[in-house]
Amino acid sequence: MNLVYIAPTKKDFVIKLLKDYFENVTCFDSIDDFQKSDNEFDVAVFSTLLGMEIIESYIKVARQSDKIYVFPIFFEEDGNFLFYETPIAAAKLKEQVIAIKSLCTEIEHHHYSTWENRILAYFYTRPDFTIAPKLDKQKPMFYYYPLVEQFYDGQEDYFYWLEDMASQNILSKVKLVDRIFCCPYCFSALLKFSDHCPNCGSINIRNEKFIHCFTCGYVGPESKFLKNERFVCPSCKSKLKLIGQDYDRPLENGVCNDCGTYHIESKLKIECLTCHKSCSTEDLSKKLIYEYKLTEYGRNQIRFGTINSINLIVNELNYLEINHFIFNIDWYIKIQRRYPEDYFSLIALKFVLDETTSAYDLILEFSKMLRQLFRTTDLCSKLDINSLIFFFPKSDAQALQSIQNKIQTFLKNISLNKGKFDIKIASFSSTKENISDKSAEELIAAIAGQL
Amino acid sequence: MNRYWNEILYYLTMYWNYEEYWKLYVFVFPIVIFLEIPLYLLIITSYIKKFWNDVFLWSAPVNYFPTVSCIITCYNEGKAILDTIRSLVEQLYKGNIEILVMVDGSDINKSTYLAALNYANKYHAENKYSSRYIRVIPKKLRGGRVSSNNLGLSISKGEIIIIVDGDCSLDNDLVASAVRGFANPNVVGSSGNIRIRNWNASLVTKFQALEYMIGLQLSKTGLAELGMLNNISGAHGIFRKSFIQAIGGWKNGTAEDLDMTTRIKAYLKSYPNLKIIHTYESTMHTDGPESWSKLLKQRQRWDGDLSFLYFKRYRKILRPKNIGWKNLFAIVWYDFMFCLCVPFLTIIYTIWLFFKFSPSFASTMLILTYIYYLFSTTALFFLYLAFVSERKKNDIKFLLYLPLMPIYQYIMRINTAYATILEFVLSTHKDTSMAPWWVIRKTN
Repeated sequence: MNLVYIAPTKKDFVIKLLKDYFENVTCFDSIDDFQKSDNEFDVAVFSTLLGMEIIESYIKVARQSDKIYVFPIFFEEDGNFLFYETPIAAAKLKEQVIAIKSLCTEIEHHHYSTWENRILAYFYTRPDFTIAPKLDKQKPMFYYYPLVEQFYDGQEDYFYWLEDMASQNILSKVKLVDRIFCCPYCFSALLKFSDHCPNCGSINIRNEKFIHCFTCGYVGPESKFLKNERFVCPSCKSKLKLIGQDYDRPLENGVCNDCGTYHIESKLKIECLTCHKSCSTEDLSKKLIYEYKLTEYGRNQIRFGTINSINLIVNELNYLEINHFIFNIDWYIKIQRRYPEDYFSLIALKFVLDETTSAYDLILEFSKMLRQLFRTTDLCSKLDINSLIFFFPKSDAQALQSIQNKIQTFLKNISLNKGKFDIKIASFSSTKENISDKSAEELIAAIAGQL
Repeated sequence: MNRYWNEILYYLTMYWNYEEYWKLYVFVFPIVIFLEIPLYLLIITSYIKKFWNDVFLWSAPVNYFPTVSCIITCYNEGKAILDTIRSLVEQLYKGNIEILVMVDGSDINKSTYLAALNYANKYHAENKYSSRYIRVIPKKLRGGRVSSNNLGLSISKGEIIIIVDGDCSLDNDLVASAVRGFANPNVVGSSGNIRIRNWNASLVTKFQALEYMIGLQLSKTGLAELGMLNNISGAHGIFRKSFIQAIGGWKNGTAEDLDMTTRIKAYLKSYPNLKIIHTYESTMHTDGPESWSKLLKQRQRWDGDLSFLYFKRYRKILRPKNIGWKNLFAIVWYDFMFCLCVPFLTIIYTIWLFFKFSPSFASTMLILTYIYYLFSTTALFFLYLAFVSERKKNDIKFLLYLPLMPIYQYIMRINTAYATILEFVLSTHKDTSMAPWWVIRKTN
C-alpha cells in the first residue's frame, strides 16, 4: 500500500512508525511537490506543521475533483495521528484505509459529477461519521458544516440540501445543536435590533415614568410634574402626595423626542446586516441547526446509485420543497374559486427502478425531454425519493392530455440496455366542481394514492 | 316640658346679672381654666414663635441625604401591605431608601409574606439600579411588634430609621421631610403626622380625622416646639439609628412607643443638647375604626396602656432628677391631668350638676360648656388650617362636622375614664394584640 507523508521537517520516528504498517512510504516537503508527482497513492498523511490553512485549501481542491474526492487523508501532530480531530492509533490507520478502499470499490461504477453525490459517496466510505456544525461568528448563520464546505464550491446556502436529504431519510438528524432566528429573505442570522417610535418611526425615543393626576385626569411624564421635589400637576396645580389617592402610574412609558407622542410599547425593528432588508419580529424565521448522520436507507441508495437520480431532473426545473409547493397550490385553488376559468393541472410521476439498473443516462435523457415540456411558470416538487409532482397553472384537461402523451411516447421510444425501467403516471385537472372544497394537501394525497 | 325649655332660655339670657352665677362659673370650670386654657395659649404662642422663625429667619437649604431604613411591621395585612411598600418606593427622596418588610409569623401569614416577596422580586427585576431596596424578612414564629422593630434595627443599613405600620400609606415627601430635621445632629427622634385615610367611610372616621388634626397634629406641633413632645407614635416614628442602638432598642410590653419616648426623655435630661421634634410635614395615612364599638375598644386599649405606664411601670422613674422638671411637668399636665384626670372630672362635674341643681339649670350649664368647646375647637381648627395643614382644600370640608365635635369629645372622655378603671381592676394592658401571649406574660 502506498502512503505519502508530507511534512516540512521529517520526523524519523514517524516515518519508521508508518513503515511498520505500509509497504511504500514516500515523503514530500510541501503540498506542491506532492501535487506535481505522478505516482498514485492510497493514503496521505499531512503534518500539521504545514499550516492548517494550506492543508485545508488542498483538501478543498481534492474533495472537489472528480478523481480523489474520497481519498483518505490523516493528520500528524507531534507524532500522533488524527482523523479530523479524533486521534487514531498508527495500527488502526491501515485498517481504516483498507475499510475506505473496500467501500470505494462498492460504489466506483456510479457517476459522481455533482458535489452532492461526491459528499454522499464520501459519507458512504466513512461509516459512523457525523456531519457536525461548527460555530463561527463570521458566518451569516453563525454555524457552518466544515465538511460540507470542503465539497461545496458555490456561494449559496447549502443548508437546504441537508434539510432535503433529511426529509428523504438519506440523512438523519442526530442532535439539535441550536435554534437561531434569521432574516426571512436571506436566512442570515446577523441581525440588528432597534426600537422605534410607533408613530413616526424615529429611533430618538426615551423611557419615562408617567403620572396620572386624579384631580383633573391629566397624564404626562414625571418630569413635568416634578417641582421643588414635589409632584404638582401642571394642568390643575394640585399637589400630588399620596399614590393611589392623589395620583397613579398609568401604563405609558415612552416618549418620542422627534414627534413628541407618548407610547406604551416601542416598535421593534430588525435589520438584516447581510441583505439590509428590515422586518418585524413576527416575520423572523427560525432555523434549526442539527448534527446529521447517514442512514442505513441512505447507504443502500448510494450503493445502488439510485440516490439523486431524480435530483438530476429537478436540478434545472422550478423545484420547490413540498411545503412551499402545497402552499402555492393552495393559493392557486383560491384563485380558481374567484376566477373559475383559471384551471390548473397536476402530474405525478413515479420511477420504478430495478436495483441493478444504472439509470443515470436514462434519467438524463428524460430530464432533457421534460425541460422542453416545462414552462418557466410551472413548478415541481418531490413526493418521495422516487416520485415527482408537477404543477401546470393555466392548463386545462386538454393541455394535460398532450403532456401525458408526450411522456408516453418518450417511454415507448427509449430502449434499455439492461434491467427494468418504468414510469407510472397519475394526473389531475381542476374544473369548477372538483376543487370546491378540497385543500392542496388532499389533492396531492389523492394523486399520490393513484401511483 | 315647655317650662323646662323656658327656664333654660331664662338662664341663658337673664341670669347673667346674678352674682351666684359667677361663683358657680368659677367653681365649675377649674378644668377649663387651669388645664385647657393654658395649653391652648401655649400652643398658640408656640405657633407665633414658629411662624416668626419660618418667615423671618433664613435657614440654609438642607443638603443631607443619608440612607434611610423604613421598618414596616406587618402581620396579616395580606395584599394591603403592597400599598405601604409601593408608597415607600414612590418616595421623592434623593437618597437611598431601604425598605425592610418584617413579616411577623410568616408561617401563618403566608399571603402577606408572598405578596411582599413577589412585589420585591418584580420590582428589583424591573429596576436594576434603583435607589430603593426592598428586603422582605420572614419571622417564622410570631414575636410581636417590638421584636420586629429590634430585628429591623439590627439588620438595617440606614442612618435614619422610620417605623411604619403595615396597613398604611405614605405621602411621597414623607421621607424627604422626615430626614430634613435630622440634618441637625442633635435630633435623635421625631414624631410624624398621622391622617385618617378612610375619613369618608363613616361619621366616626370623620370625627377621628378631625381629632387627629386638632388633637394630635396641632398639639404635638405645639408641644414639640416647646420641647415637651408627649409621644412618638409607634405607627409613625423617625429615629436616629445610632442613638436607638445605644439605648438598647425597644423594650417588650404594651405601648412600646410611649415607653421608648419616655426613655429618650430620660436621656435628654443627661444630654441636654439632644432633642426630639415633631415633623408635621411628614404625613402617613392609616385606617381608623369605622364603627363606634370598634373605636371605643381601640381607645380603651390605648388609655389603659397610658394609665398602666404612668401609674404602674414608671411610677418610680417619673422624677424630676430623671426626666427634668419641664418634661415631668408636661407629662403630669398633659398626659396625666389632661388625658387621665379630665375625663373623671368631667363625669363627676356632670353628676354633681344634676344632683345639686335643677335639671334646667344643669342643662344650661352643659349648653354653655358645649358652646365653650365649640368655640375653642373652631379656633384650634382654624389655627391648624392656617399653619399646619398641608391639604387645606381637603381639610376645610371638616368645618361642617365641627359642631358635633364637642359631643364626640365628651363620649371619648367617658370612655377614657371607663378604660382607666378597667385597667386598675383587670390589668387589661395584657390583652394587647401587639404581641403573642408568650411574650406578654414575661413583661410586667
